[in-house]
Amino acid sequence: MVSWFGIEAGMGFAILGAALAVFLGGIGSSIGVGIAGQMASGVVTEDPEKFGKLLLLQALPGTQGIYGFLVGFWVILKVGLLGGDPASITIDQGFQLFAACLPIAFSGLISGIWQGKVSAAAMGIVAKRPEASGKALILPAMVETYAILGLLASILLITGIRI
Amino acid sequence: MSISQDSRYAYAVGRIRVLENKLLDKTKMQRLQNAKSVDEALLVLSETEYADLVAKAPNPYDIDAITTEEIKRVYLLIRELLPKEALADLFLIKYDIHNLKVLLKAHYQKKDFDYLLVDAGLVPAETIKSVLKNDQLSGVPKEYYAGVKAAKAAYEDRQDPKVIDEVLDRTQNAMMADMASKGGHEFYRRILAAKVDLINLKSLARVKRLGRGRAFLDDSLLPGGTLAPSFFTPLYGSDWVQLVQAFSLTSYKAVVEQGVAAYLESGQLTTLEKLADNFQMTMLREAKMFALGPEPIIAYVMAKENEVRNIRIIMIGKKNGVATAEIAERLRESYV
Repeated sequence: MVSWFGIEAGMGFAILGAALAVFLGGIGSSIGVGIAGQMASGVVTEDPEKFGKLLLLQALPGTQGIYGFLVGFWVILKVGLLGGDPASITIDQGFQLFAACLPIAFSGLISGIWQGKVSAAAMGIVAKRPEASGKALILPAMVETYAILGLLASILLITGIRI
Repeated sequence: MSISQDSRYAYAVGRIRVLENKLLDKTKMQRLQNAKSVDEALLVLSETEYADLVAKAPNPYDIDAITTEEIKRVYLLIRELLPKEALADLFLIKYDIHNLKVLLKAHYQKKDFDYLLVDAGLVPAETIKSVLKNDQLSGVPKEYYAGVKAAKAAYEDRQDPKVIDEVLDRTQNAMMADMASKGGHEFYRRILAAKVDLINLKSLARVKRLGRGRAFLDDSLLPGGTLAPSFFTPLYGSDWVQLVQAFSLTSYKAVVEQGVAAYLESGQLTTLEKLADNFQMTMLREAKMFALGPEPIIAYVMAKENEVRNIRIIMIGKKNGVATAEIAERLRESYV
């Protein structure tokens, strides 16, 4: 067991990975939902009836934060931090878990911001052509693909790591 | 990264996107044009965003008052949407400049033109009036003061009210270009530069048509466009075909070609002027491609200004019994 300043290095890496997944995904989502929310407020100020359609669009960039949280939670569960009986994690395993968290951490950060921008733009469609609202939903959903791929990669990697 | 830059405008853009829907589209404009009388036209207006204004106006036939109210409403909205932005100021300067021109001319001609003042500018018309009367600097942007000083000097030198317009137009363009570049609004700067080019083109055509002389043209040309004033001056002496050729490498090729062709046929510059305005509108439509950012807001205000101008053309035409076809000839393209 390698220990730095009294911290078990393996466990430290695993926790760092979990933290990154949660907070980078969270940053991406909060910026994205923030941009979309401002635009939605503008549209609703002038046309309150559009609220329902806009809510869906605003929620779309929120998923990255959830994915990040999911991966972080998975890691916490895997290393046994939740049950009060932490597994002993070698530095190799710890680093593997850390690396496994990176796909969702970074794809969540970037895709969250961009999905927010596309959502805001799509709200322009809802404001102008309510009949095309379905199409407006598809465009930001495209960005979601890459967050999902990041989530998938992270989950597959974590599942594959032996502890 | 541009996240913070553009998303600042997200709320404003959201509101503008809805308001854009209320702009008068081609069909509405068409119905307005085809109205048989002023009353019928007012009825058409009552089905639009102008309904409230028409209903509340003390005299619904006073279309200037109604449209001025509407423009004021739009400027107030922009102020509200962009409280800390110089962007809103950009649109207000021209009303101050208009008031300055009116007051200066009134001063020199010893007449009362107060009814021409428009209270929609950056500074209340009353403040401008008292500033001019007391010749003091406080309360107005210092550029106004410099402009007034230059206009007074020019007038006293030449005794021609037109120089007041010229000097103050220059002040206005310089201020607007300066504010646009400081605020980093590339889109607005580009539109403004094209506007200056087109104003210069119109001045060139007008001075050439009337044969007022090169010096007169030199005085009218404004700096700040993509084409320098030195591009325009030599064209005064050349014939119309050469003028068309000179513009063939600029983005105004089509405007000049068709405008000059129409002039040579009819002897009128109205087509050229209309094409120039439509060129601006085409540029403005690019704003539809910007999802976030100040562009849609700028475009909305300018679209509104254009709409108001068209409504005035129609209503004043109707009032004076101008034929529908003739009115249509003068109308500019709308944004939507």
